Amino acid sequence: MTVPTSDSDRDASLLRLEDIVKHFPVRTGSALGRGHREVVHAVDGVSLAVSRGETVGLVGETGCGKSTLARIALRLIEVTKGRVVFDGVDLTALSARQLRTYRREMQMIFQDPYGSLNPRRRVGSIIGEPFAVHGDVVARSQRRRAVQELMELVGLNPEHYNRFPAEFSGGQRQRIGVARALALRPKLLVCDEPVSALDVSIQAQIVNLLARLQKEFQLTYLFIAHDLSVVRHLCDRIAVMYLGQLVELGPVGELDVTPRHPYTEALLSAVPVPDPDQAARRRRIVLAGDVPSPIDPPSGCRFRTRCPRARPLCGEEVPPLEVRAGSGPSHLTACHFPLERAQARVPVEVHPSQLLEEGNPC
Amino acid sequence: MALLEVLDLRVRFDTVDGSVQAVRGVSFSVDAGHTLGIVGESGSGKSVSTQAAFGFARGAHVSGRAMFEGRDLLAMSDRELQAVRGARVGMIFQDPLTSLHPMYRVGWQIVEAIRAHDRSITKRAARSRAVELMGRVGIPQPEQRVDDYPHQFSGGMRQRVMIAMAMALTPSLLIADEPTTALDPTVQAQILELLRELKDDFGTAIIMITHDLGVIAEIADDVVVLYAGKVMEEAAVRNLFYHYHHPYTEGLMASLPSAGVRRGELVPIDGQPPSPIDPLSGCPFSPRCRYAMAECAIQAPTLLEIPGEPRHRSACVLPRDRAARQALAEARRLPATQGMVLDR
Amino acid sequence: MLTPPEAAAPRDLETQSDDPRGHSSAQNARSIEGRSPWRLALERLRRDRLSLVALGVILLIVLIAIFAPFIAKATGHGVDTQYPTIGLTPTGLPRPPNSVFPLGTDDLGRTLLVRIAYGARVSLLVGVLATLMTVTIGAALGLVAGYFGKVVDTLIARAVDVMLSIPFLLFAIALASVVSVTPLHLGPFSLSKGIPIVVLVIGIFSWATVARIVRGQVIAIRSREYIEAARALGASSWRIIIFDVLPNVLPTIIVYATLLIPVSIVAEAALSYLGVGIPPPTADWGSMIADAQSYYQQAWWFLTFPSLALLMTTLAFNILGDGVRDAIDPRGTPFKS
Repeated sequence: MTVPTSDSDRDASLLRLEDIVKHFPVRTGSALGRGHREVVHAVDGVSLAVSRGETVGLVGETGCGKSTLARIALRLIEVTKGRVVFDGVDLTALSARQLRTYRREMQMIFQDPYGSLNPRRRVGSIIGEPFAVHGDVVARSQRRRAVQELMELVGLNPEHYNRFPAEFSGGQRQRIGVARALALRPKLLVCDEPVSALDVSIQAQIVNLLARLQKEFQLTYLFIAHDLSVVRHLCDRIAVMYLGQLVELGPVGELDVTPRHPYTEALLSAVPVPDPDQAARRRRIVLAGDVPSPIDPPSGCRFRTRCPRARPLCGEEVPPLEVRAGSGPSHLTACHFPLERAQARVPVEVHPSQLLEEGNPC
Repeated sequence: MALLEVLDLRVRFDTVDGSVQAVRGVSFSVDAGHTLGIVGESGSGKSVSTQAAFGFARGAHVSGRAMFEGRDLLAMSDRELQAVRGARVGMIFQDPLTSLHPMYRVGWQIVEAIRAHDRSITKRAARSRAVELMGRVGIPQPEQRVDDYPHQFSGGMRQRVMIAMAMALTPSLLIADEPTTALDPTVQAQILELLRELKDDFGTAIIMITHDLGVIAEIADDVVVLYAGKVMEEAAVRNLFYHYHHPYTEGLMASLPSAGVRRGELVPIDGQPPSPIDPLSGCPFSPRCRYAMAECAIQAPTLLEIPGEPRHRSACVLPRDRAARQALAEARRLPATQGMVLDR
Repeated sequence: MLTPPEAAAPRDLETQSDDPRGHSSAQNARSIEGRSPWRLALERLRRDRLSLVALGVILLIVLIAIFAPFIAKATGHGVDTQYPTIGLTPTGLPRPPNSVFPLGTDDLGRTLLVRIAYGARVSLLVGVLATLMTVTIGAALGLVAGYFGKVVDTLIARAVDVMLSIPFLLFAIALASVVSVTPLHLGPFSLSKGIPIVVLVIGIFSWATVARIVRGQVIAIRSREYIEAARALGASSWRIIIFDVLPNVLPTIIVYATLLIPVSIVAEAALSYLGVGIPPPTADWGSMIADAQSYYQQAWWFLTFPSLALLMTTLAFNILGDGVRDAIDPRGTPFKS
């Protein structure tokens, strides 16, 4: 990947989220009671920069705010506070009309291959919609050709131009979604769990496709997932979210091998390993209890209620996201008592298919 | 003797758009106290086969035999089946909300589950049993939570309630149909841990139906791999992971992302699974199989023993003995075939 | 309880059941032309024999309505012509069916056959026009309310509540009788008694239900990812409503419209029966039934044939409506056991 590292003239990061806060108002209370207004703290002060050509994985469980953050990055949801700077421009300050031109440069791939395609439109019209919305990109007479080229690019048969989404399988539908997202040649692709709903054998097809396209078009990805298995494979850096906040941010190979935050460690160890011997051997960290309500998040460190290492300080002070002693320079952890590197060593799963490459005797 | 033995099970649904062959002749067995993993992708028939065996597949045409504790489930009357379900077999599903009644307190539902099979148990006794069960499955403060409604529980806690209900009459078999698929990783880990404990404490056999090979590796003793409504391979869990024979199993293993495999290097299975409406000719996997030969498209291979590995059977015509498999793998030098040669 | 989930029928198959042909056709590239959801629905409808019979009955009625003048010509009887000598008995009662008047005559000695044929024109016209009006107003307001939400939604929802709480018949009778005295002036149009006012009255009173149904559907569709995808592309709200939302509520609208036609026909008949609908001497089923009720003991045909015509028409539309619903949304009954 070509990541401009010391380009002083231009900002190296394509997307910069600055102290993003998103609160959703909700009404609670019984029908008889007065029903007071409360707010869901969906995202609470997240800052994250994504460099050009980089893939950042955003990982966390249901309700951690990762999908909200992704939609804020594309300004599909308005922020409560904070700035979204895309290619040097503050998106949050743009009018709806001004925003339209920037929409070309950032697109989204969705999780549900059944829900993300309008069942009553032909595939050609779905993939061609970006050209219809931004009429100046491709001349009307060239659109069909352009769409068919896109179909070929993502591995679909261009002859299926007139088919309907229902006539495709899950994996093929996901390819349709990718083609639509690529139509305007965006710089940034936000992928919201693009393979979570697919079968394993198909997952690999889409992951490979995304990797290939990134190389071909110098794409920047913000890749959202609920666990680390795919992310680890595809990303340069990983950001771990818990209850609306970033708890850890670091490069692949470091964060996932020697996590410093107890939540990251638990998340890593929670994913079942497809290897029976490993599964029997490894140390499992089973977290107690449930994620607290985002309406009334815990004081101090939000993870403390489930953290095996929590101490009184954790309830009093919010731990800042910063480089901790012993971590690499780009590995940030929001924890008062980060795991020691040796202690944090999560058993790295070794898949049977890797053993040969690593020179195991046959 | 096997606790449950399913023989040549076939399930067909007639839909407005044609006849769907969901299960096309599946056999498997579960021993008492063991965990059988049934793994397969969407449309493989993994859920339907157990549902059909226990009479849950409404509107389906079911044939074959399903011997449970010595009696054929498929020959039973509805009343007899009702007595078996719940009492001898517990079931948990992907989405507990569909199996819990939203308008009744969970405690009441557990009490009813207990008393439905034995009216001699007093309500008071059943209730204290419900509290005990809820505590056993890890629900904090069960005395209070017993009077809560399902919507007051989180997804993971709801699944625990379902497990408590399924285990209420200490069944000999627990069918877990994708019980963790809808849950977050850390909650999934909790539920798997709980199932492992329950199995050890109660000696309950488990059928774990899942698409996730990780879950299989964590919990199963034996595994059946389904594809297009047929058994592709069955084996003890270690044999399946380290000495798989069937190219479909191999494909599944190779598609998994794992640490150290760099981007763009996953080995997917090309193509799409066959439609359940079309009749099959030959091996259902042959259109996607990298080893497919001309005969594969004509004749469906039978499920045959792998020599030297008890209970390991594969429905593939590739050579079965160890030496020949090794030679084949070496000859092809394909990175995804080490499963065949790996020997630990 | 250990009852299986609602979808005890296979979860694995769920993806198949809504498009069971998906895989097969995507694989063997037989037809490059896609099979649209509409075509699939049409194919299902074509296999539904009862609906086909209903459709046949409706077509027949339509033909009768169209060719009513020819029927008049063929029989030689005018629609409003009274035949005091051959059409009435010496005591002035309607004549029973005979070779001259195949369905008998009414109390003024007019031919029932031709009048029923002409009555079909009124019924169908009012049924279709009122439904079109209802559906257009209802769908438009439902789409806007559902998609934009907030204040717009609140306003429309309250309007719907108000409309649904006004008693239809009382209002209709009042309006119709007012209009029959002083015509209603709407811009260049002036409405007096007759088809336009009946259509207007029915339309005004039925849109609320359509709006409510459409609004509910739109709210469900609005949260789908394909709407989000369109927004991410920069499509305008109106573009999204027309290209992404409307096509997905259209099946519901169509089903509802087919079921609304018979309701409108009955409503028209009811208004005419009460004397506030289509003014005489226009042939109309509702007013024929009203006229016949004083004679039902002496002249059974007078009441029976117009009633049968009304019944057949509404029954046919209702059956077809059910069939259309099943064809468009087969998931309602996924498996035939």
